[in-house]
Amino acid sequence: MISQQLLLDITKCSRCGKCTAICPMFEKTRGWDTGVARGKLLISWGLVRGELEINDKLIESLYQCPTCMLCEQECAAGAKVTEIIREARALVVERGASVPFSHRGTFDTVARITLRDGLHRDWLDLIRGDFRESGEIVYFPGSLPYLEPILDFDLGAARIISAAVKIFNRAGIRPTIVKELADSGHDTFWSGQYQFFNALKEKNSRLLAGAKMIVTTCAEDYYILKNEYSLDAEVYHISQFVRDLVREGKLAFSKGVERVTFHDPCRLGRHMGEYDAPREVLKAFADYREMVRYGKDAACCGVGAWMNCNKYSKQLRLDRVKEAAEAADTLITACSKCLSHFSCLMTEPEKVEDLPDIKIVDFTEFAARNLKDI
Amino acid sequence: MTLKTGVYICHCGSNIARTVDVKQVTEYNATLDSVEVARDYLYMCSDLGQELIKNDIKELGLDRVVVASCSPRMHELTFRKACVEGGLNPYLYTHANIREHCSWVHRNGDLATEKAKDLIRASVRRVCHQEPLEVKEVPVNPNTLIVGGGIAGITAALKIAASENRVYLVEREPSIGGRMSQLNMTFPTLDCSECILTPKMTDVGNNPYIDLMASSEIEEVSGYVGNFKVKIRKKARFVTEKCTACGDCIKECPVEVLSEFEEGLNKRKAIYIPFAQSIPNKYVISRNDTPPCKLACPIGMDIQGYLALVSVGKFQEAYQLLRRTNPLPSVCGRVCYHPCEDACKRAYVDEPLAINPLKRFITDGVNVEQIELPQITPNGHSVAVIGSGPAGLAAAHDLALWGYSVTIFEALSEGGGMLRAGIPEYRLPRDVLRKDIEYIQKLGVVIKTDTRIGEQVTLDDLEHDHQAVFVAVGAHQSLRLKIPGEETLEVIPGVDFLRAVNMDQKVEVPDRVVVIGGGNTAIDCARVARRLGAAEVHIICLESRDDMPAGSDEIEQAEAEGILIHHSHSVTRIVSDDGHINGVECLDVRSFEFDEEGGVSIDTVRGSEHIVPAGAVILAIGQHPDIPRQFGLSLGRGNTIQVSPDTLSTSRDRVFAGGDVVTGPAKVIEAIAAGKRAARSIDSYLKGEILEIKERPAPERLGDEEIAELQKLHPIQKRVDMPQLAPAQRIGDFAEVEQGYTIGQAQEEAARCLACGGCCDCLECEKVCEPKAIDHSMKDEVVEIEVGSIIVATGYDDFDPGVISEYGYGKYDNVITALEFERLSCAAGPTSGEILLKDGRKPESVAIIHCVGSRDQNYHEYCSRVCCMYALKDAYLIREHTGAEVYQMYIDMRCFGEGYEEFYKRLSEKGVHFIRGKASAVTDHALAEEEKGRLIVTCEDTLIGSMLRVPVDMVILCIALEPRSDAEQVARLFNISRRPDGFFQERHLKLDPIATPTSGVFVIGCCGGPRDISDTVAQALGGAGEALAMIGKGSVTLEAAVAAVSADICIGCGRCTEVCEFHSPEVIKDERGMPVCQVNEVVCQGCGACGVACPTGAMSIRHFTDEQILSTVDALVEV
Repeated sequence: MISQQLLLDITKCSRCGKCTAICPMFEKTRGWDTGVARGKLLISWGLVRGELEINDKLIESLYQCPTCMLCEQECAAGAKVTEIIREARALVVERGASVPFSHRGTFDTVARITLRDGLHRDWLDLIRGDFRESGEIVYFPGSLPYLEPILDFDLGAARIISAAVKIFNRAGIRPTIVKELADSGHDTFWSGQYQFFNALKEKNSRLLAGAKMIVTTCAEDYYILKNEYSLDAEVYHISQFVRDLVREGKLAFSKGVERVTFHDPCRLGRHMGEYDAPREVLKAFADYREMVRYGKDAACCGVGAWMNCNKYSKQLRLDRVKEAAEAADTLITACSKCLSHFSCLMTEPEKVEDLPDIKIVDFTEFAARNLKDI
Repeated sequence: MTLKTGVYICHCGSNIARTVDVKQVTEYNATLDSVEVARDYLYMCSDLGQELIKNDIKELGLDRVVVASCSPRMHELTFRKACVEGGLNPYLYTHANIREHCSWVHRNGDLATEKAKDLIRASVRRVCHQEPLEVKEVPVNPNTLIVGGGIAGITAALKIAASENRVYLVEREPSIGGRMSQLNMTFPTLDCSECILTPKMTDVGNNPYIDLMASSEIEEVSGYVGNFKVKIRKKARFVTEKCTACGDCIKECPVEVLSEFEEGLNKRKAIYIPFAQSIPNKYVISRNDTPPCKLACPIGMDIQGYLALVSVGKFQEAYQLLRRTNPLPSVCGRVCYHPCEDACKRAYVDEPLAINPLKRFITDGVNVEQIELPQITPNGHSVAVIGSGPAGLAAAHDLALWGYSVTIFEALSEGGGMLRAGIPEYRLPRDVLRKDIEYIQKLGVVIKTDTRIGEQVTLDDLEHDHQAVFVAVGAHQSLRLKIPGEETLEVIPGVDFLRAVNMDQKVEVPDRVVVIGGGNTAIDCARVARRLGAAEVHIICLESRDDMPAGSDEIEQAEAEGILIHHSHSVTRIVSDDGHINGVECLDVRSFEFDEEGGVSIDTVRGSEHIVPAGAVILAIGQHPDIPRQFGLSLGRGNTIQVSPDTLSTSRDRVFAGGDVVTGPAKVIEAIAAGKRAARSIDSYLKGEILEIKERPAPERLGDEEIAELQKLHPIQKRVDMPQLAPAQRIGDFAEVEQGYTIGQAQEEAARCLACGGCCDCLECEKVCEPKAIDHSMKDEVVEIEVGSIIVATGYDDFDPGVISEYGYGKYDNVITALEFERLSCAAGPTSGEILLKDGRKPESVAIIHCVGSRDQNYHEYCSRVCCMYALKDAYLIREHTGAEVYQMYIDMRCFGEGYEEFYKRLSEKGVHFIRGKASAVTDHALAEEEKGRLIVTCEDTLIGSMLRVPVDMVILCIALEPRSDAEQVARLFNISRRPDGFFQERHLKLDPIATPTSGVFVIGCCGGPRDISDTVAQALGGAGEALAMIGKGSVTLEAAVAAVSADICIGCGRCTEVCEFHSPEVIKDERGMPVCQVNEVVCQGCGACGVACPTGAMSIRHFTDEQILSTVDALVEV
């Protein structure tokens, strides 16, 4: 239930218009106020107070937002926009409406399947490197293993997970990959399905009870494990983990000449405030360039929690890869969703006009590729 | 005796009565022990309310009074006064807060009523334990201190001075005037800011009652209301009162730095006044910490000084400045390893200054014949120097200047030591060396060549003929490798090889030469061998390429000349055929390390043996000194002479040593430093003085913020490369490789200097100052004054809009702050009042973005109050002067003062566009043709719900006013507090806006929050009124609720003295000589810290005794 404090946050809005002018989605949709934070706050207000009926338009307004947090970050009144939108979505779910997932909800279904115990996961056989199935230092591959079979392009899940294991091994660590782990629940949480999320969280928390340290490759998993789980373990994103190992002298890289740039995933950047770790690592060995919009001002990949993939969000993605291509030859990102969405766009060179020529590579894989013997 | 207490419950209109059942509470109170009378009244604070108390005291004989009403902060003093007027000691009164603590914070009336009863019961119980206290008065010092010379400080100072009382006006900057002096015009009347301000500034300067201390800061405040003692640091201005502000000095000063007054839009000289009407109208020299280049230089050369002089074309003066510290400037201009360049801060921006090439440029261009020699007065002492290398020459030079008669003894046929015999000519041409030596000879130094001290002439002879001897014979003996073949075959020692070539002996080399070693000597040997005709020259060294001790430019030049370097190699033996060398055997090296004895352990790769063929092998792995045994000096490791590190004195009396002979092979500049140090040491020794040791700190590395600041201020400008001879050209002979700068190149390069030190100590200004007002040796001075009250008027800082990256400040040239616009539009400003873009064009449209950093949760929540109005004024000026379109992006227009709304309306009629919406970003990313080359402001016009992209030429950011960055230190200094927004806290927001909780300290102007000039001036007059009221009365009443010691219980442990912030208690001896504490009651603020710290309970706070507090608690917990 939306808290009183959050509700009052809605009334804070001074209608200064900055969110409207800054929202990347609104820049594409150019609709009514319902398409932007200011309007969504009012809709949430109406929903909570029972003044509005749930209908398609209302659902579209609440769900057509990647919760990239740009507006919230810039809000002069300090309203917690993304949290309010999420709570409003939860109200919609609570009142029985269904979530407008893209891909016909396939990913939601897969998450539901991971709740089951005893599922056979043969993907572990594809992972190279030295790892174990129980221990204190846990590597959390998140949704990578089961995104791969559903997507109709090569995401490189096995490569990325093997790369992570390689990083651990190189630093002299045999990481644990827990076979039975369910989906982290990031998407269920942000789509407002709190009950479902709690079930996932409960299962994972049970399996992770013995962990002292958890490292994720995906920014979303990092966000959700660190913020919404109550684990005893320290949670790190792999960029932080690698940065620390380099500082301690346990990892080193060979200098490369590749021109790379980094796309800040909103969960790692604006939501968790980590901008420096991936840059420190990349600058250590690659010819690092910055895009026009970077760090706290970084543009969004267009989609959050597998909702609302449409022509507008595709346009956002295209803008972003164009920006990247102006800066570098390779776009590095550190979130399996950003990676999926950008990679998806790149599969359609014949359908997308002026699609630039750029490689999309996951941070983990790129870092592992450039490791040097110490 | 039973006490008679009167209890009075206030309704506070409905403030209390709405929630608390006042009647019920009154009835309850009447039943309490000791209560004689309980009454309630609509407004107790009214005259009639107070009359109730007074009458009851008189008529009912009350000896205790309790009032239950608002906060004691509001009215405790009111009711204490009523008690006094009724004839009761004010400390027999207690105040119960049933408004802020009860009625305002509770909704449930019944519970609130119960709570009010509890609070009053506790107060009634407490009041019975209270005792009458004596109220003390102390005289007030009639002087006033005003901190800050902006419009607030100026106004207050003039008003107080008008009463013919003394005012000390302390200003941190060199001139008073503050922010207002930077403004162009003031809203809403459009008065010229300077025109209305400067007459007041002049009045301050002329007023006999105002002691103006500019360039000064408060260091310490002690004492108490009416009697403060204040220490003030008057920072050295380096210009005395004799200055007539004629301005001759600025024409000569070569240093330019960004002008703070012009917000960095213009430059000023290192000697300057902030603006034409500055008060005091005296020049000042700005001087920062010693620049890093000077710190890094072993002899502390005035590097910034000679660079500045080159940049303005004063080459002769630059040479004189070199000579001030460096006896061998021409030599250093060629061969110094320039640690100064490694320390140069410009390296953080792009590349360090080419200091060494510039030094060379200066010495190349000067005809030494024309240099006027300094006047020397002989002092009758004579000193012998053995060795004419850099150390010997440097010592001789300095000693000769001070009047010593100096003779140098040199074993070789020409002077110069290693400079002559060790450094090849293509690096140090002989006439360059000769130039420096001849100058030293002209100072009277005699160089006796071909005179080796040892056999014929002994050290004893020298000691006999001279008062002191300086041994500086250098290190000329090559080290041996101790490998098979080295002794039997003719391996050539490196220094011998170089000496032979340099001294013009005939030397022949075979086609293939191998040089062993990785230092500069090895590189020199290799390059000389190449010039003598060796077709193939190899260098074999132990170190990796990056770790080679040789200078990197030397290595690069050698490689360019075709010399092959085999790094990470170890030589195991010399290979021969028939007694003739035909190669060396090497091993690959994995790693190596030196042990403490100077030996080396090498980890080689087994089986990596290979032969590098060679017809001759030159060994250049280092040298050590060769000291004749007859000298009788104690020697240390590596055959060096042992000396005392500070004085360079040896084991023999009157004999000193320095340079390579003490340190082993080192750099030229280090030898010069040793020579100079020896000269000072010998001088102080012969004069019987104690040598003053000056340690210079190493240059500090900059933090990330400082680096970012540097990069923001200085655009990238790469260093000017010095032309070099092409490699093919240079291997043919010994012509100099580096060709030197032209005049244009030198001036361009020198102008890159960031002038880190401010004043560069060139002393050019002193030469032209007619009143002789300049004194570069001036020191800070600390003065102490006594004042009765202190008015704090320290003003505000500007918000740095760079942190809101989307507005592009610092990224786009034409995004400027409002204060920059003030300078830009001011007739006395950098553009003489023309509103221009950075490229000199007139803007055709301008956007003014409001609330930048204000009214924003991410930065400052408060409204900065002045921005709306100056934004209107700016719009007016832009419309008047350029006719450009003006767009105001605002959230709310706040035009609240006299004439403000009218001004707003007037502007609306001038065709200014008002867009209601917070600008989201400024970008140069054009989407349409008309946007190209312009700044585009994106924004929603929220009144029509439409998204706008407004192309403009200039963006003005209305930046927030924020607390001074050092507000916390200032608050601590004056013992005042800050509000959550960071500004200084007033005693009461509405009713006591100038006083602070610390008696006698007042806050006026923007240091208490953003205000416009009218409000600031009103506050300043208020501040003057506060001070004058104290002076007029002549005394202040001190709080009686202060600490008191029970001397019988006190053990004199002194813990109270440790915790007291006001230095009130001190431990003294009582009449029996026992330590006991004593409280200075006038200083005590009654904070109670000592009472808590006291282990025995001897310390108590009057009016807050344990008994009083415990009785309150007891009454509260009773049911």
